[in-house]
Amino acid sequence: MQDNTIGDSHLEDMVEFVDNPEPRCPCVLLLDVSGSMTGSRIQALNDGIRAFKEEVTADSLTALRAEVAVVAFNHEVNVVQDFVTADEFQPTTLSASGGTCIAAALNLGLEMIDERKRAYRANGIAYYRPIVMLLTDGEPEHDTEEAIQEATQRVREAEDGRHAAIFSFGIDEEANIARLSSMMAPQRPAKPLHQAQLSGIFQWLSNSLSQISSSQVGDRLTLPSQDDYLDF
Amino acid sequence: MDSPASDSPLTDELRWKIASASVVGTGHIRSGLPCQDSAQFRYLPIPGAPPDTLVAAVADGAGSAPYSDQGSRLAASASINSIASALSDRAAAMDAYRLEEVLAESIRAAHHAVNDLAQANEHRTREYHTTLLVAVHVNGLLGAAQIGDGAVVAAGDNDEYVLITSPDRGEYANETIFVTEPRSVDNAQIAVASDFRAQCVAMFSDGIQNLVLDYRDRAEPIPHAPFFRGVFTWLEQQPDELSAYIGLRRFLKSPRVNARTDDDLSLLLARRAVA
Repeated sequence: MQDNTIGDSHLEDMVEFVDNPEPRCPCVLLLDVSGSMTGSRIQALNDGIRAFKEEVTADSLTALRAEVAVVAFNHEVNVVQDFVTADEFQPTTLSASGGTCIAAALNLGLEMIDERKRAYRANGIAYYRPIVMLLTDGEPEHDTEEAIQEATQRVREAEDGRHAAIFSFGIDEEANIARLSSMMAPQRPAKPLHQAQLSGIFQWLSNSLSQISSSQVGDRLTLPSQDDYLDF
Repeated sequence: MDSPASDSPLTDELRWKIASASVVGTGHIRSGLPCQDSAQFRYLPIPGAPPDTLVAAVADGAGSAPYSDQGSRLAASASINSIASALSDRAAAMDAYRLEEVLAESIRAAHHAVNDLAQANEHRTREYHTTLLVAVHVNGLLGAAQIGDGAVVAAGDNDEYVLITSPDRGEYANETIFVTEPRSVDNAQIAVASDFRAQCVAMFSDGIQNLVLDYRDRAEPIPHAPFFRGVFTWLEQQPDELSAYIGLRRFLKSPRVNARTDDDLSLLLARRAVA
């Protein structure tokens, strides 16, 4: 609207801005759906994911910037949900059966992130450091030795090169934390988690995604402490 | 900022109309931070340099660095002074290759000036972290050097807006690189367009870059022409530089801009004045 004569026109009325896509913060959930998860664990996991969907979309900016992908693994790995922005994420109810291939899930998750970054770059979409969150109540019992070696190397390269931040949690006493940590980067070992803490860790993830996706150039970003979310 | 008008013995048709402003972002006001951006220019008098010589700088201090307002001011002024003194000796002999050297030297000068200040105050250099963009128009050459976010956009006689230097973030959207970091000269983009009679030059920090550079469906951004045509038409209509300055500040503080960004904003516009 120009309500003034030329020479008196306000600059804000004379220009047009471009609507660029929102920067994205990709997050891959690697979720154990092996037989041992049957019962209260898979239910706590499903509840956690649904609560995560609610929380991550509660903040309108995060809803547009956080992107979620879900890989469910047992003796197979399945992309249950390819990357979508949080507002479009529709959690499906997971059911548990079969064995455990953790390394294959890590390899697929990291590959998905590389591919997503290539797509962002080709389309001029800025992005934040991706997050991978692995939840398991077991150990890589059905992975090949090569897959485990490959996953270990990829995880460490991703952490050392700051290509992604990979958080892993072993649920309840059945999880082999030491074995899990041996596949992780030394600076970010696996953490033990009780199934009742699953909702807390999804809350932590949601808050972390909010902080990351609202951070600006030059900010010193510190993610919330996980311990603050693990009371139950 | 040097006053451009009073010392000029030269004809008006050769000169530039410039508007340059830095304003504090609404996010900085909320967090109690000062304006950490700085935009400065000088185009006359540089003894021995052609009358339409233009030297300008924009710097954006890091939000998390407590003294980055000082860092950005010093980086901008040190780079301008370095270029002005280089041109006063060598302007007539300036070619693309030499201009690249002059630009590299200006980055080095800014880097050392801010590092020296940090050392003198017994602070860490990263407490002064700032990006830096410098632009020079001399002898039909348009040169620019840049470390970090922001961009230098220019149009020649054909009224087509082109990126001279472009945003240089790290991999991630919340990262950038700073002139205060080691290897600043190696990290700098340095570009010289030869046979380029610049009609319009715009420089800006990252606060506004996402509103004026078009990233849609492309790997490399392009200037959003409807923005740049608008601002330079507006600048041409301003009766003098004071009106332009006031109008530009008003714009940068307007709800239309602040609805889209809460960061500090710097925008420097130079348009060849038509006699």
